Amino acid sequence: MALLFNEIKFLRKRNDLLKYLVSTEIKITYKNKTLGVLWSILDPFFMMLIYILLVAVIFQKGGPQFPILLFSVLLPWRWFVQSISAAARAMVGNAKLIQTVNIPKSALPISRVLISLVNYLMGCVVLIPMLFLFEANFSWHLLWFPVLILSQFIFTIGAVLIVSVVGVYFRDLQNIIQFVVRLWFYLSPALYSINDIPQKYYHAYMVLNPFASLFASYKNVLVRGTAPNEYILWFTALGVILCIAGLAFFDKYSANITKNL
Amino acid sequence: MEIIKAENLGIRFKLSGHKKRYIKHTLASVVKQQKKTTMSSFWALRNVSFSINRGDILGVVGSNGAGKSTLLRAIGGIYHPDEGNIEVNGTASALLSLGTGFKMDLSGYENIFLNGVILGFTEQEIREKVKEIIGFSELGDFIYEPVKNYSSGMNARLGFSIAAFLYREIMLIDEVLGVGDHRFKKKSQDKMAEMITDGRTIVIVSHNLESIKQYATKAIWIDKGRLKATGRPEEVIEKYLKN
Repeated sequence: MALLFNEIKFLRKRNDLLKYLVSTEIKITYKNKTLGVLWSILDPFFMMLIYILLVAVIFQKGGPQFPILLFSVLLPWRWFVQSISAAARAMVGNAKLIQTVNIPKSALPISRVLISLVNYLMGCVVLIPMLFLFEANFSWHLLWFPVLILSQFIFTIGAVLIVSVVGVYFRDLQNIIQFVVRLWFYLSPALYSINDIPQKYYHAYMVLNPFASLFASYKNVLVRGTAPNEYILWFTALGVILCIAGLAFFDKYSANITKNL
Repeated sequence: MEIIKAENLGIRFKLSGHKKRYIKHTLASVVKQQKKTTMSSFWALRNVSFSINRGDILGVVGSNGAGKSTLLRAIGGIYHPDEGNIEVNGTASALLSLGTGFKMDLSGYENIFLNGVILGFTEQEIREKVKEIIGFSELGDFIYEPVKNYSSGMNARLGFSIAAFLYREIMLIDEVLGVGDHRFKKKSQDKMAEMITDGRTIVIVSHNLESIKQYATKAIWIDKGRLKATGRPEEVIEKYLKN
């Protein structure tokens, strides 16, 4: 099925490329900055502290498990934001390379998704002890965690494939994305719970913001020990559609990228 | 057997596309109530037809901006024809402009692998060649140092060595005929000559007419994207110089 797309065929033919793009980038982070690895953990951690100050201390809301409820969605959200922002400049930033060698160009945005996934997993090193510290309710529903990651991965791949191509023709996209993701974050149930959404808007909210069910599911699975939110099926379906659309879009429009760099 | 065949090859670039990429330009044109500007386009190559056989060495001559590098990119599959077509039977590998794609924080050794996979080789293929590459580069233990600590000469030596040992049946060469200090230059030129006389199919773009005369079996002259002459290297170069 995936082999219907030329880009996938090309990627498979060059399967060591993706591996090296990811591993070299990670090596550089580890090697160069002493705090390089640490920052990928500290950054979301500090962000969490700021939100705790705001929500739990100033507004006196969120409840005793607020820090882990928040941290369990901050990490995957960062994964998405990093991937999509990097994708917007993936082609322009590698212009010289793309103009010199015929490589499967999708490897550039896709590698960014994988690199940010590694950052996410590094962040879990902090998340896990925090789950114990704040007494998360562990249950076998934790097994859904990798499934959620996979579902988010599929969604993100679709998104970055489109964004990376559009970013070439529309250079403002990088700036627009910065603004949109910030807004999107506040429209998603990170600082609040989906129970805070008025009942009559609930369905519309869950349908219109696919990340609502993803956030709710991460919180359920990691902190509350309950099953994922039922709208996660909607998120996954959207992700699959987006991924197929992204591949089709990339196949159709990526050939002319080189001329427009 | 024809290994590269171009028929009425045309590559076009859109010009005003550049301006429209930022919102401010779009807004400006809305405010000024401009009609959509007609996209002017520019043919970097047009009506270019030629063919070369296995083992041929094609020299491409022409002044700056004539479309030589565009042609090389079209052969390499980087630009797709907007008109006519180009058939390439085999895999073409470009000599990366020495050092393109190097990651400064990684060692030379790691960069050999990274550069190799970018050029389309598998990890296994690179592993088989890595000793020869390091040997030829004369970098010794420096190969394990980060590339940012290299002198420009060392950088070029490594780049050349990678290109000299990792190549496909068709080689596309853009102005790299010897790098480094005097001694290494000689060595790299010899290596180049060896590769060229090895029966491989090669396309060389160069301003160095002497090396084209020396190596090429066939030449084409491109001027402003049009094919001006094709034939034996001496004849083509003579016509080019008279111009």
